[in-house]
Parts: sequence; structure tokens; C-alpha cells
Amino acid sequence: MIRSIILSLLSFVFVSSAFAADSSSGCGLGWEVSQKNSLVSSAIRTTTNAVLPNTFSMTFGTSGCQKHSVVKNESEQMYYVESNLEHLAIEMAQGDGEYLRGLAVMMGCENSYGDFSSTMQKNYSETFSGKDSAPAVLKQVRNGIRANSVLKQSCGATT
Amino acid sequence: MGLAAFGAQGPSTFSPPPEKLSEIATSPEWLRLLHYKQKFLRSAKSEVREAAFFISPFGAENPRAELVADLAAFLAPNAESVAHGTLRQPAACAFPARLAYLSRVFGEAFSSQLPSVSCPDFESWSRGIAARSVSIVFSSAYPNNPASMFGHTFLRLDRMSAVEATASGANSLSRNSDFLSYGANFSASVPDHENPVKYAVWGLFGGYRGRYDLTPYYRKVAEYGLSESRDLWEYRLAFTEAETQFFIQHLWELYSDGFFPYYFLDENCSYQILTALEAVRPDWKLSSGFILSVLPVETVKHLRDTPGAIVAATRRPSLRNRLEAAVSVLTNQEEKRLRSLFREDKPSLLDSAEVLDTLILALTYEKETETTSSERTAFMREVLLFRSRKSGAILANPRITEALQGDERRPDDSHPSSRLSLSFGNGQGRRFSAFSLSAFAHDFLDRPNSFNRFSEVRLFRFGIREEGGDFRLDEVNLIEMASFAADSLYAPQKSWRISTRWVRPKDLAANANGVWEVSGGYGIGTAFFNPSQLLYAMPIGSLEVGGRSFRKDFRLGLGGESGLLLQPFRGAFFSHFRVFALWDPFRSTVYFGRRWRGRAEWIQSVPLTARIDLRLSLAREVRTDGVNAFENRGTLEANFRF
Repeated sequence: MIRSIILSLLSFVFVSSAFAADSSSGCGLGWEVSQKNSLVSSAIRTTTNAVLPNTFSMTFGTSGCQKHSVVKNESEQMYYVESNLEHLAIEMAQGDGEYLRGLAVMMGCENSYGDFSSTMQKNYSETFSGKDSAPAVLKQVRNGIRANSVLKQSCGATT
Repeated sequence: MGLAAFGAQGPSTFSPPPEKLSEIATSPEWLRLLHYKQKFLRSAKSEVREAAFFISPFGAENPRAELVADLAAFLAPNAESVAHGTLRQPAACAFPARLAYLSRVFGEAFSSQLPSVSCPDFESWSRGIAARSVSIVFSSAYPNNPASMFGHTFLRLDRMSAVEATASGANSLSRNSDFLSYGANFSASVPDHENPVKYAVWGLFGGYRGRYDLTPYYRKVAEYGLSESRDLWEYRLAFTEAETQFFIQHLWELYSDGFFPYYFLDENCSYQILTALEAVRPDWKLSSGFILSVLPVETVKHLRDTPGAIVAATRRPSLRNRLEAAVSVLTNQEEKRLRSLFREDKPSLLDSAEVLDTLILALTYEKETETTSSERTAFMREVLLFRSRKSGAILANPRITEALQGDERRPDDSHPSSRLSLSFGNGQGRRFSAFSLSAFAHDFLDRPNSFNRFSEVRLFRFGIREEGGDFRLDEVNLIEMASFAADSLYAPQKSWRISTRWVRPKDLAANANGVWEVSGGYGIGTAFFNPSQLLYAMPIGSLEVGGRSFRKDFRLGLGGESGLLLQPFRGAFFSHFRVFALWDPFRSTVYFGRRWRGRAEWIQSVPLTARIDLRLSLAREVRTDGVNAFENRGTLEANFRF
């Protein structure tokens, strides 16, 4: 009883004051709130998209991902580029960074990261030429790999 | 369902003796795996509130019945075609961790009798996760929001890199695989735009359902590290490869069927993460020992205090902290150039990679925190184009790394949350002593920790004061928060404070009744020569209600506060100089002349240990009622944290 009173008081103060701003994504006093997930959506997510969150099919509905039960390497690459487009633009221009390294791993280029990053930096202006979409950027990345003799040999995933 | 069920359901010859069944049913491993919890004076009950999580209809409350039912389901000759759980899979696929545990304890006699069952869904799921180890990730406070200082925890399923997967040698890019790992988050499902009162009540009494979801870790980094600018601390757990596999199997059980009632204060995200880890290592006893609430920061300390639980701790600095570090290492000339570039001067090939990279950080921060115009986006494009023609990368700049390290405050090193204070003082020749207790207390005179450098939170502080042998309740402080931050061109940030409490106003007669006081302020601060020193000023307002010394039952104060916060020697010596003055526009007190009151004070803190510090404060109170208008006060205070 006492515990309930204390807790009610606590929560009332918190929720009604400064914590309101923190309710959307932070834990505040240890809570975390997500978008409403129905049982059905979580089940569908589990069986159709495997480990990809179902926002994938929303942001990138044309990939055909909905029909697969196993994550295809290519759709994972596309999802990664789509999710991180702006950060990839920055790190390609800088020639290094975690997003770029992640892309190297995704493309199978982790053993030749030095060549990969310098090639991506060199190709920056062609890769990000204005209207940047994930498929267009990914295509440019693949072209860059194919055009480089070292990368062409060492990057497994694109061939 | 009894033991006869084995014989009745199939030709399985496996029949363990009843003593063995009882032993397994009461083993810590089995109890943790099904999340049974023994509540005070009550029998064991599972915290999972989902019938599909159990095979026996009595499983939620009877560990032994569930064990018997599970064994029968795993051994049934038609196991492949009998569906279990929310996803309607064979028992072996719905509950792979239980199967693994039972195979381990019953050995060959059990596992040789199992019908062959294939689990394509679970297999593709766990192959996609490709976990090599498990980390617990702590997200620290938002900048400028002490309310979030309790943090948040989630799990990272550290991904095997492609290099390791093919077992072809050294893993030079292990950090990138971390980035591509999946994060597992336990959260409550709350509909959008939920009524805040319902939210509070339901959250408190377990009205919402909590469940796990998976998100790529880079999205978590984007959410916490970039959008919200919170540092992430990654604690890698000491799981063996087999334990990691077992954990993934158990996570699948929780992911598909593990729905828990979500209690904001105790059975929350951080608590459920501990119970999931406990299923793998019952000997760590992680989920016990919390009273009243489970604060994420406390769970991290709990893990740190468990011998051998944590292998490594890594910090991933937030965008804001990286920006501040990058700006701090620029020369004056470089910073001047950065300023003009930030105001949309044209970048040129003469600009260094350092300046351009800092500008990119500043523009990214701006984009994450404000809505930016299309001109700004075009400007960023132009900057990137120039940057792509420069070699040298900001990540390689050791001075920035060093600046970030100098600012490191491990969350598991932070002081305990509750505080007890004893103080003795002398005010105008009258001696007094005081005692106070706070449920949660942190201020900028404490040793800095994972909280923001200049933030303050006090919750539920009770104070008793003695003067001349008279003891009386002096203060009941519900909530008091303050955040002081250096405002800058690139990362604008305001300073503020807010509090609500019951208090006996010091400027009224000693026998005056207590009043309810609500006060707040909002202003700006600036770094005073270096980032660990801050000068601030803010207008403040206060409203006091209920004092008999007030003519209208209330008193309004309008005024200002200014202060200087010094933390010069990294944890050794903190000072706070503060001046404030309040003007009473309604002449509310019964003493008409009293329209102004104010205080100038200096508090010096000397931390002795992580738990104990001493504080000396000298204050001069001033009010305009002619007689006895000044009071000087000196106080020595000892603080203990527990």
C-alpha cells in the first residue's frame, strides 16, 4: 500500500512534469516506449522479413522482400544504403568512417578497405550527383568496385 | 498431465525417475528459463503473461507440470506437425533453449529419442543475427535534460564478421561488425498519443505489454547517438560461444512468445534484460537486490559488481560530444574560419580537412536538432564536394580522440543514487544543525559521472532542522532539476532550473508556517575560459502559497540568478558562486517594507571518496525591511551516498 502510494506520487510528478518530453524514445525512469506492435505484425515480421524490421518494406517496398523468408544479401545492402544515405554521403566524402566501413563489410570488401574507401572518396561526385536514391547510389558503388582491379578481385558480394 | 503421458503419446522409452524430474523442475536454470519468480509468501509464478509461452495449461504457475509437458511435446513422434506458440511451430522450434537445456541435463537417453524436426524460421533468424557475443548497451542522458539521466539499456547481439564466418584469419574490422549487429530492445507497446494520466497509471501497474524487438545497431546509433545526442556505453558480456548460442535460442522464445506486463519502475526494460541474461547465467543473480525501482544505470553497476560478467566497456560518443571535441582542438584561426563557413561562406580548396570535417559535424548536428532549409542541404552538398578532394580523415585525428577521452565518465562508476546529509552551521551567532535524506540526488558539486557535467537532480528530499534544541521538519522537496550548459553557435543550448517543494522560508520569522513553493528559471550560460567552468545567468520566478506571513496567502517573486560553476581539477574540487535576488510586486508579506530579498553564496565541495564529500558554504542573505536586513551564515555539510 505504502509502496503504491509512493510510486503513484513518483509517477505523477514525473509524468506530469519534465518526463513528458522524454516519453517518446528515452527510458526516463527506466521505461522505453515503442510504436504499437500488434501480435500479427510481429509474427509477420518474424517469418517474412527474418531479421529485417518491417519498416524496410515500407521504406523500400519494391525490393520484393515481403515474399522471402531469408534475408537476401542484396536486399540487406539496399536496406543499409537506404537507411544510412546521408551518413554514407558524408563518410564517402571524408574517405573513412563507421558507415563506410559497414558498407565495405556489406559489399564483401573488408579485406581491401583501404582501396575501397579511397575509391569511394574519389567517386564521390559521381555517386552523389544530386537526386540521390539508394538504388542509384548502390549501383554507383558497384560500378566503382567493378572498375577497380583490386576491388573487383577481393570483394565477393557484388559479383 | 502425469508421467504416464510419455507412454501414452508415443513409443519413446525415455522415462526419468520422479526425483530427477523434481530436481530439474526446481533447478535455477529451469526456473530462470521460464521466468518463474518467487514472490514474498507466494508460490513461484512466471512473469511471462502469454499462454502460448507454456505447453502445459498450468505451466505459468507450475514449473514441474511445464517440464513434463515440454518433455512430452519434444518427444512426441508427431512433433513436427503439432504447432506451438504464437507462430504455430513445432515445440522444438518454438522453444529451442528449453530443448537445449533438457538435452544437456538428460543427456543421450533423452536426445536420442527426439524425432527429427527442422526449424527454417528460427534457423534463418539466428543466421541473420550471426551473434558471436552479447553486449549490454547503456544510453546516457540527453544533453540538457536531467530527467533522462537514469538512462536506458538494450542488448546488442555482436555480429560475427564475414571474416570470422569464413574463418580466414584476423578480424581487422571487428568494430564494423559491431555496427552491423542487431540490437534487441525490450519495450512497452503504447499507442500513439496516449492520454498521459492513463499512461502513468497503466505504466505503474503493469497495464502495458512489454516485448522484445530487433533493430540493426546502426539504427540504434542513429537514434541515440545522432538524433538524441546521447553517449552509448557498450559492455561486452563474458558469454562463451555456447552461452551466446543458448542466449539466442532463448531470445527467440522471448521474441516470439515472451510478453511481459511492463512496469515503469521495476519490471521495466532494464529489468527484463537482466532476467533474460540470467536464463543463461543463473549464477550471476542479476535480477535480485533491487528495491522499489530498477534504474538502468543501477543495472549496469550491478553487472560491473558481478565478478567476471563484463569483459570490456567501450564508449561511443554522441554527435554533440564529438562536435564539441572537434571544435575544442581547433586553433583560433581555424575556429574563426569555421564560424564564417558555418554562416554560409563559400568553402574553398584552401580549407583544411579538419575545418571542413568540424563544419560537417556542426551541419549534421544542426540537421539532427532543427529543421533545416533546402539551402542548408545544398550548402552541405557543396561542403562535401570540397571535402571529397581532401585526404586525411577526422577519425584519425588523435587530438580529438584525446579530448573525448578526457571527458569520459563511466556510467558504472557513478556514485550511488541516494544521499544522506548532516550539516552544522552558524547564522548570526545562532547555531543550528540539519539532517536530510534524498531518494535520488546528483548535483554539479558531485564527482562528475555519466550525467551531463552541469546538471542537478534531487528527488524526494526530506530535511529536518534543529535550532536551540528544537527539531522541526524544514523541507519536503519533491523534485528539483537544473541544467546549466554552455551555449554555442553550433550547438545552441539553454540553461534552466525547476523545483517544487514544501519549505519554511528562511526570510520569514523563525516560527513561520511552511509554504508550497514552485520556482523556475530559464537563461543562458557560457564557458568560462575552459569547458569545465561555466558562467550563467537567468531570470527566475517563484510562487509560494499558504504562508500565514503572507497577506494574500501567496507570494510572488520575480528576479534573476547568476552563478559561476567551477570544476577545475577533475573531481577534486568544485565551487559554486551564486547570487540571486527576488522582487515582490504585490508587497505580499505582512511586513510592508519587504520588497526585495536575495542571497549571495559560495559552496565549496571536496569529494573524499566516491561516496562521501564535505561541503563548506558561506552565505549572506539580504532583505529590504530595515531591521536585521542581513544575515551571514556558515555551514559545514557531510554527504554520504548509498
